[in-house]
Amino acid sequence: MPRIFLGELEHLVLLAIVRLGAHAYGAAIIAEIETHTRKDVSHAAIYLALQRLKTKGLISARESSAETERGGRARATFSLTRTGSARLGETGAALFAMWSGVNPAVRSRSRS
Amino acid sequence: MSQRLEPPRSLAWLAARIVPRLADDDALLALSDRYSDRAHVAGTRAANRWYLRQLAGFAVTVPVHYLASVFTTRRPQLDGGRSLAADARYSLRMLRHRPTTTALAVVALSLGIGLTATMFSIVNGVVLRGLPFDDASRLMYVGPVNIARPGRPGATSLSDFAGWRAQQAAFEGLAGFSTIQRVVTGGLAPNRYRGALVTPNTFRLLRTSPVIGRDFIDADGAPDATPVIILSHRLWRAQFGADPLVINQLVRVGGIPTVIVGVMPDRFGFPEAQDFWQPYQLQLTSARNDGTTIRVIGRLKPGRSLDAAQAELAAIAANVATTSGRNEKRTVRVIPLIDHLLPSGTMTPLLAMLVAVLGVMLIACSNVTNLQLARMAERAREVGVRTALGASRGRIVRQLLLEGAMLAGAGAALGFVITDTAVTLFNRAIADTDPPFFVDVRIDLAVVVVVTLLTGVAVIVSTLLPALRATGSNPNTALQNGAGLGRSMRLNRFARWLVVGEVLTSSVLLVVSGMMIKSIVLSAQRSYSFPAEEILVASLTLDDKKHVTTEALAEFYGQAEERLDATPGVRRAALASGPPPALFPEPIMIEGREVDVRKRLPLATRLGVSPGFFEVMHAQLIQGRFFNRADTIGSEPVVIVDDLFVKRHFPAHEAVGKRIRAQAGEKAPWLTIIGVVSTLDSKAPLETQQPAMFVPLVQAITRAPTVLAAGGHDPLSLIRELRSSLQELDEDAVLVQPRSLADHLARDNWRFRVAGGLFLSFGIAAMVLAAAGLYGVMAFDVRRRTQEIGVRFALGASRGSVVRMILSEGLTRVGIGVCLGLVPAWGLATLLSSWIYSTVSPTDFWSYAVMVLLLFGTGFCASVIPARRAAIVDPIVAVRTT
Repeated sequence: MPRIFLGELEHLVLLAIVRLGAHAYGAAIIAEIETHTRKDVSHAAIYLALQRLKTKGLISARESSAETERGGRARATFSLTRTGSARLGETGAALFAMWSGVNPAVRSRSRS
Repeated sequence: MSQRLEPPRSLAWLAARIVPRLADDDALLALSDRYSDRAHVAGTRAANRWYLRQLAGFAVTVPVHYLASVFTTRRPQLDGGRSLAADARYSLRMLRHRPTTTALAVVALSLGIGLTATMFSIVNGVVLRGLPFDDASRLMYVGPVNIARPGRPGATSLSDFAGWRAQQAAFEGLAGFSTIQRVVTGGLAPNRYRGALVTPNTFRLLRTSPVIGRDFIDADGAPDATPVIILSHRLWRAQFGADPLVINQLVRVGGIPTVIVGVMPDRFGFPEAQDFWQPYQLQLTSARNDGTTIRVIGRLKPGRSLDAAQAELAAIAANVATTSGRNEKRTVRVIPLIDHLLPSGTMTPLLAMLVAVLGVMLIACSNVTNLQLARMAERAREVGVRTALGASRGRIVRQLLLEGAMLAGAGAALGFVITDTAVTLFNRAIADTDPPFFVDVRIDLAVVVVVTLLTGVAVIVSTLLPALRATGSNPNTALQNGAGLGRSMRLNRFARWLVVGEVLTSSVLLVVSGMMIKSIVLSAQRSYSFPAEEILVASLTLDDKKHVTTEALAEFYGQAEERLDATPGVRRAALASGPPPALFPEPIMIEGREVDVRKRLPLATRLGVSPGFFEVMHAQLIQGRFFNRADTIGSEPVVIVDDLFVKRHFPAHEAVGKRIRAQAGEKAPWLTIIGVVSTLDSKAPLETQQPAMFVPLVQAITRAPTVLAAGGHDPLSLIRELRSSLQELDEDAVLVQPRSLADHLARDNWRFRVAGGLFLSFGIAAMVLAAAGLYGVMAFDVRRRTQEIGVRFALGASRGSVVRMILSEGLTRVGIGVCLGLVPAWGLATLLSSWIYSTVSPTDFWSYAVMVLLLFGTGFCASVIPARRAAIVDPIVAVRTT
């Protein structure tokens, strides 16, 4: 069986990149994850996950031009590759399938 | 917008150094943005903590990322090499390019790794793995020692044991044991078996249960309980065919019907490789003190230390001693159980051998270093070109390390074969020497780990230095220097000192192995004044219920001697308290001579013998008379001494009629010397023989005497006849362990043979490696100096003078190494002197002389080939080559 599931952090990072679209750079990805999970995340872990996803070929990075309001620093923006999109879709579908039919009470309890 | 807050400067500085290694510059800015936000909301302290946590995350993650990227890198490299695989292919090509050097390096490393792993397996099997019991490090031996001279703790009295047991709190429990030998009959071949008496809680403390049947229970220890026995797995297999129905069967132990209740697991032994165990059947009270002694073990409670237990028991012992009003000169010592079970003096030689073998490993590594240095020098140009084309220093070092790893990997594989063979040989050598039961020498995980570590060390030691040196200089120089050998002067000076070190190490090993070999040869040359090959010795075992009184025993021995004597084929038979010659001399006192307390008392060995003994041993009567039937228990205590005793203590030959005291105690009886016999010579050359005295066996009665019978050339064939003659007298009297006296006397030689064999292999390996190293350096030297030699010839030097020059350079290095090795060789030989035959002194001239000759000989051989090569240098060709 081919490996279809992503690690939790990788999953979150890929989702953040999809949500951010063209503005998916490191700091934004961290902010996106922290906003929606309401959890503090380790910056290093996110950057390591980005490197790992890049090595696996699930995302690609593009060096954007230096932006003046950021003090002229180069920054990389990330986007999903085709493999990345496929893998994210598979994982999402698997999780949705598992969640469907689960008592709504569990879902709301687990959310709180 | 409120004012922006920045993280403390030190943290920011740290962040600037760590973060960009994993992420882009923007990440740094994002971190400080977040810091500012947090500082406004939660305060600076909380923000600092958060920032520090984030940095710690990076600090941990960066090395992980870095390692991952080294092994999975797909980025194209500037120097054209594509990956580790490309480097590996390149390394293989370079190794194949010089097959001789490669083979030499592999052989050197395999010897180093193989011998070290062998020695480690031995040390691991004997000491490091520990006892094969659960949580064995908490098992302690507890025993009394003399306060003034605390040594190894001994056995204690039953009353002390009872006292300790009742009052101690540091141990989960204390158990006692002692070893016994009993004739066991019924269901198994009548023989004397080795057993142990144990308190019923012993196996519980050792955390080992029988594989079938049950453990001893406390009720088994009651004085009136049914006698029970637990068998060893070995005895169960050999005598009962591993029949599980053996439980509840009856056997007779020393004549007493006893129920088999259990069988211990395979390989279990305690305290040695025992055949059976029985519970002590006695009431332990502090009042009990009949001279019976018991050895005591305990298992420390979790959290209690050895020192705490020691302090507690010493206090209890002092208390017990005061209440009973004795033992004031003794205290209690607690030592790890393994230290008690290992024969004393085992550790030192083992560790010395481990050090010695590490010496071999060192030589092997420095040899490979040497070979690699020479290669680096030749490849200086190649390295220069690669550097000039943009290869980083790290990249080149990585490639060279890979080469080293391949060499070491091959060496380790071959070394493993060496270890496997050596371990098999070692086990075969110790098989009939009755080693402690827990000695289990085999290749296990620890050995594999050690081999892996050694390989790693070999790679780093042998390649990193040459690699760093080769890449450390300016590529320009390397490229300008033509053949690339010019720069190697510096490398070569280093290599020369390596050779000196190699010679030093092998000189140490050779001296010690020389002494070992000499001791083996000497012990094989033992000469006897009696026909040791024709004398049978066997141990006589008796039923405990028979011949209980001393008188009955004496009478039985008298009858037994007559019966044995009358056995067909036996020329003369005798009984003695042990096999001759007695080994351990005792202090004696001579009547009428002042005892000088500052001097040691005179020593002599003592043996109880029956009247026939001297005839069996071919001893000549020089003065006085032999023992006869009139020398009985009640008669005047008498003694016969040997010639040597007279020479040593009565130089005027006035010995007969004088009185001496054996054991040198105030209470020991005075013994009248009634005769002088010729010395029973059984010594090896140079060994010092101890003066001997003989007392009538009946006046020094023992329940386990040795039977001696002089027969023809095959004394072992007498055993059947001897057994049946004895059984006519007493059907429970059994003769066990028959062997010829010569075999008995040669038994002690095994450790010289084992240790000598090991050392010899270390020494020879070291010598061969040192010779190979010397050859490598000299050969390279000659190649490097071809031009110089050519110039010498051109200027009129003769071939002889050039050969002499090269030879003398090689031999000088050998000479320095040998001289520097003398002191450590003497040190190691002194350390090992108990294992080296007592007759070979640590300054034995021949061992050193042979070592010097061998090393100069091999040094000469190693230098002569390069020297001859130098002699045929064509000056015209040499000068033209640049």
